[in-house]
Amino acid sequence: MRYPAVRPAQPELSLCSVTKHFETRRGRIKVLDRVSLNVRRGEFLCLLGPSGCGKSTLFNIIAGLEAPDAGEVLVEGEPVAGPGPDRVVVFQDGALFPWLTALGNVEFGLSLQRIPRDERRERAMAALELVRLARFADAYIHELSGGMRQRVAIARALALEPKLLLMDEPFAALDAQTRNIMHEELQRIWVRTGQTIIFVTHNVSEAIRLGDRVAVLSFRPGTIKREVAIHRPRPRLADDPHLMEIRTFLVRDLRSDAETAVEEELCDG
Amino acid sequence: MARWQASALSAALLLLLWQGLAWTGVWPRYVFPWPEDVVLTLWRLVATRELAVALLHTLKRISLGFALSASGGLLLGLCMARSRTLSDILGPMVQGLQSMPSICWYPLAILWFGWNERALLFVTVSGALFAIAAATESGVRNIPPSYVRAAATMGARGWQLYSRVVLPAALPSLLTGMRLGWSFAWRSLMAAELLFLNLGFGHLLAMGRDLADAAQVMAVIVVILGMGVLVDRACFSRVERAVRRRFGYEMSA
Repeated sequence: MRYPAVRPAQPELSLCSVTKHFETRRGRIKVLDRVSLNVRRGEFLCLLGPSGCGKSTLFNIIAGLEAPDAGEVLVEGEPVAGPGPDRVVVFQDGALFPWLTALGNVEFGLSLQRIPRDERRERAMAALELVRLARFADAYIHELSGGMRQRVAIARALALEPKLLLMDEPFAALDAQTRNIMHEELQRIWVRTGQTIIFVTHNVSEAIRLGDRVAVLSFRPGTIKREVAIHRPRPRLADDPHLMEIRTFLVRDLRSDAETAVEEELCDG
Repeated sequence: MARWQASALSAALLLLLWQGLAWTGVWPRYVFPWPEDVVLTLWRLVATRELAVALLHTLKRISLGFALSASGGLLLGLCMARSRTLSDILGPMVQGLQSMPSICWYPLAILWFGWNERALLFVTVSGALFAIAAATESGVRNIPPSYVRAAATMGARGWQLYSRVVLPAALPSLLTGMRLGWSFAWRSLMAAELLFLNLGFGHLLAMGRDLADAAQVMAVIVVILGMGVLVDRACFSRVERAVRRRFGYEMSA
């Protein structure tokens, strides 16, 4: 049983007709066009799209780092008015602070909330244990490998017990092997914590392996052109034949958008 | 060969070269003193407490001058990093003033403040403040933007962003700026003290010249050199290396 028997009537996150434009030298470009989306509590949602489709913009709007031109973002029914610790972000580069140890990084957000030292330490250590890095609590960031850094970044976010964990291509900079391990780890963590996760990626295999649901964004203007629910038990393997089928379908579906994106890039250059 | 052995060797070579040149007798000994003359003079300056008095005055001036430059430069640099407009307006001025030899302010400083400590302070501060401000601005501007975004999503606001993220993240560049500022302040002060004859190392130098006492001039130069190296090595360099190592910019030796 993954979800509570009685689901709350209200979704954890609601996007209502979110629209965003960018001003460029060649005029106003509509990046997001009336994007609407609901995310249930405890759901693992993957936002999938080619580069330049506006998924990072949408992500930033959910995080509160950017404001939409029109539409609304609601977390538990409350409109979002800026970044906050109820929606913590794991960035692609981890954005860990090199002047702090792994433990110091995980404690950072807790200390901003003036949580007493002992409790802070306890919660941070628990988060590090969850990502299996308790042994490296005292290591500085440059002493850790790429995969370990992303684990610390995940622990730093989970320690704050956010309503939403937002992940922006967190494994894109890792090698294939490490990424595979991180996929297993993230599934394990998700099953254990029941954390609501929104995971942005351009990698189809990653999206279908991790997500309960994959929302596919189209290229410019970004709209949600398809939603695919993925009912496979966890932990899911990378070569699950069922997932392969969905993958073939989605890759074909994304192809034209990806080609448009590449052409546009070539024209720009 | 260990680092200190190399340093010792280089000092020995310098001393040998000096003594060798002195032995050739190209210049008379009162113009080009022997190392032993300089050591004896140094001893005399220590014994008569002249050196102690000079050290006290110079230290007081450099500490005050550097403290003012560091705090002022930090503040100015932070303001410029914060506001694009302010940076556009003040940036060229700071760059210009930074490249100006601060001793050129000396005549104006005397007209404005008179022959006193305030004139010295003005020259010292105008030598260091802008270098520190420029280094602070570029240091703060160059921190990875994801640090600030990450901190913001974890709930950091306003002053917290500065004290907990921006300043620590910029620390390596801030230290480089401070080190540069220190060396500018030190040079400016030495130049100004040469002209402002009131105690201090510069005063001892000028006195040596007036008395045609080359040994004293050299002795004081050795002390000034030693002070500069000491502060740079023992203080700035050490802290800078420790910080860079922690940030992983430098592998530990």
